[in-house]
Amino acid sequence: MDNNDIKQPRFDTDLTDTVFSCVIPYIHPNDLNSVSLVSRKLYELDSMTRKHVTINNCYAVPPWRLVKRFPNLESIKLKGHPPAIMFRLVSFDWGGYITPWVEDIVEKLKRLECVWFKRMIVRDNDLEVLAERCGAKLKVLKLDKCSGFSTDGLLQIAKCCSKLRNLFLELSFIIELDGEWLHELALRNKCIESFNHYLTPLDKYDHADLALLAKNCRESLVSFKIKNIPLKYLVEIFGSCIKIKDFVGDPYLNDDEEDIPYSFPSNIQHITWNYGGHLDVPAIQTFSHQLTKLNLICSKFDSDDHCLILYMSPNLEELYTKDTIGDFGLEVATLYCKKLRRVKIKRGGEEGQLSHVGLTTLAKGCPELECLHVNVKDITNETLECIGANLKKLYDFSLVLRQEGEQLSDLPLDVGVRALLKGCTKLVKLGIHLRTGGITDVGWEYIGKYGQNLRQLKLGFCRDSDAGLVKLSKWCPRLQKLEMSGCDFNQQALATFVLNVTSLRYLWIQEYRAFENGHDIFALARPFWRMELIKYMPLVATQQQPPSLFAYYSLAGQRTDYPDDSVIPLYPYVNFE
Amino acid sequence: MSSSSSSKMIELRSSDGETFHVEETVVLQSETIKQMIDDDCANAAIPLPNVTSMTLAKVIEYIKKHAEKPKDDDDKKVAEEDLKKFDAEFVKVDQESMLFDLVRAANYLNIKSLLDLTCQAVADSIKDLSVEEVRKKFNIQNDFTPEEEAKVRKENAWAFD
Repeated sequence: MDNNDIKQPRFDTDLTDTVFSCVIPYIHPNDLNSVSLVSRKLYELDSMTRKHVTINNCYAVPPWRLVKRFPNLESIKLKGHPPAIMFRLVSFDWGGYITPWVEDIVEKLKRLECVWFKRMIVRDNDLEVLAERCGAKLKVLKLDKCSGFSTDGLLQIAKCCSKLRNLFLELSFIIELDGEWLHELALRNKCIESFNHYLTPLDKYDHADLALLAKNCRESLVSFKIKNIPLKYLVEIFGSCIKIKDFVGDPYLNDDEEDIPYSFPSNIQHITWNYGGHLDVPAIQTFSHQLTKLNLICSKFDSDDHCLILYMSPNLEELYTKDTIGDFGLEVATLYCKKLRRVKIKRGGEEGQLSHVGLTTLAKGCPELECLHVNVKDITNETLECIGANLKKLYDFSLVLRQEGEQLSDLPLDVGVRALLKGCTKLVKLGIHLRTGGITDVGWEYIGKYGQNLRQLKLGFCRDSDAGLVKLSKWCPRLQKLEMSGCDFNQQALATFVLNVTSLRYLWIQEYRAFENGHDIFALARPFWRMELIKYMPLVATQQQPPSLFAYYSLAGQRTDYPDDSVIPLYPYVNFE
Repeated sequence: MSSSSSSKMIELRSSDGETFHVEETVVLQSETIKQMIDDDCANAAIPLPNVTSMTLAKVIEYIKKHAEKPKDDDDKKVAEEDLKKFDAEFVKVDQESMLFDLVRAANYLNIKSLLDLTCQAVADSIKDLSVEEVRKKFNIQNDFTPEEEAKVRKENAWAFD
């Protein structure tokens, strides 16, 4: 009797409020959205205390809503255009301007310290506003795969943001006027921890400024990712910046200079090989045992080079490279790098060098893998079964089968896909790019049925019939994002999918051939659902390609900042609002 | 300094009137009580109007355990392991209400490590739960209007991660 009394929940509102205000900083970021919906009080608490928000589609919500709901944000990450567009267009103006965001965030987010814009269009004026209004508050500025700005914009940042710790420009297309920005940054900043202008077009700066920046920030500099640098400066930097853990940059000698021996800083843990880098085994041997991350994507390493460096790196956790690693290279990784957590292998040359054999070995030998992306020349059901049986921690898996090459006898991969999903229960992101006949409708159903935790799905060249997509749509309770290429489902099947998968927020269909007239697309129309067709701008006028379909849910109005010549917005949603 | 005061006892009184005697060195883990002692307000029993005797007993169990000092380095490792196990067991309480009371007590008494431990336990207990499950677990009333709730649901689902 007494016991029963005690077991009655006795949470009074005051207690709940006090407790949640203590607990909220401890709640996992993924759970905050759920907490915010529990009650008004918890909504309020989350609103006032949320420190970081990521917006995966900058058109999903108007900027004023972000700053109104979360006025105390310290950090935001904002993403613009779909990634697929990057590979297709030379100059890109699809949209994703940061201007409306910058206006609101500098005005309302008084605690903002970290901004990360990804695949967006940034204007010099935006950077000027950020620099002037955020000034010394700004600690992190990441312009990740962005375009539209010049070194003048960076100059403003360098002048005003003297407390900047992290400047990230990797893969941004920057208009280079001069190198004044780097000079200013080097003179004014003494606390840079991470500097990255790797894979940008910048090269008009004075390398002495790069050395000066490193020297002035020698107490703080941990990550230094640059393009190339005269050897004499590199020797200086490595001598004084002893905290450097992460480095990329090709040293070079001017004609009148002599070679100088140098060694890496003693704390080095991450190395990226650039185009010009060769494998200097004795130099690497001195620190290879402490390497945890290797990026060889831009290197010219063949399978033997891979084997050598992997053999020496027993503590490696992350490996990014090309399929030139070969099956043997993967076997060496399996034998010597037992701690591997993330492996991404991209397409190298014309000829595929990685097969199901290497992939199977890896799956058997590296049980810690959480993220695995591979590009293979062949694949079997058995390999996928092996991944399902061994890689219990896998949450991100991408398989790309080369389109060219010999006929494969083990297609379709339905059984393998089922085993993979049944085994890897933590899988959140799945990408499968195959060839015609790669999976049948049965396989599509398996993906939905066994991919209970899948949030992102990329499927390429594996359509069987329209029924497959409809079958998939009856399951996958958590799917947010579907990207397809080479899968031309009819509009009715797509409409059923969008209707059934209520968690869906984002749909991308690359080169949508089934789009024949504007009429059928209306089957997809629903409230808040925006759709647009994106035409490719062919380099050669005779190359005709079908447009891509991009659709997403949005609480913002229809966007108007699209280029007239390449984007066709589809308006059927008007009827609902 | 600490050795001279190690035997001094402090008297604490819970909200339901029960008194507890705890060594001063142990009770100093509470910043709130430390402040009272520093301010010379601890000569009589310290009243804790927010903490029931049941909760206070648990809190004392916790701070006593955390006040144990290892003898040497070898012992230190064993003690650390032991403490980890103790902490894990400590937050395995039968009722969520006890955990809530402990959070409130740790907050009031300002015992940082206990607050960390209990808050993390509450946060872990709602990991991956749906909105409805959280409401049910803590018996929280949904006071949104349907329109408000729909709006927040959409924002959460489509925009804010």
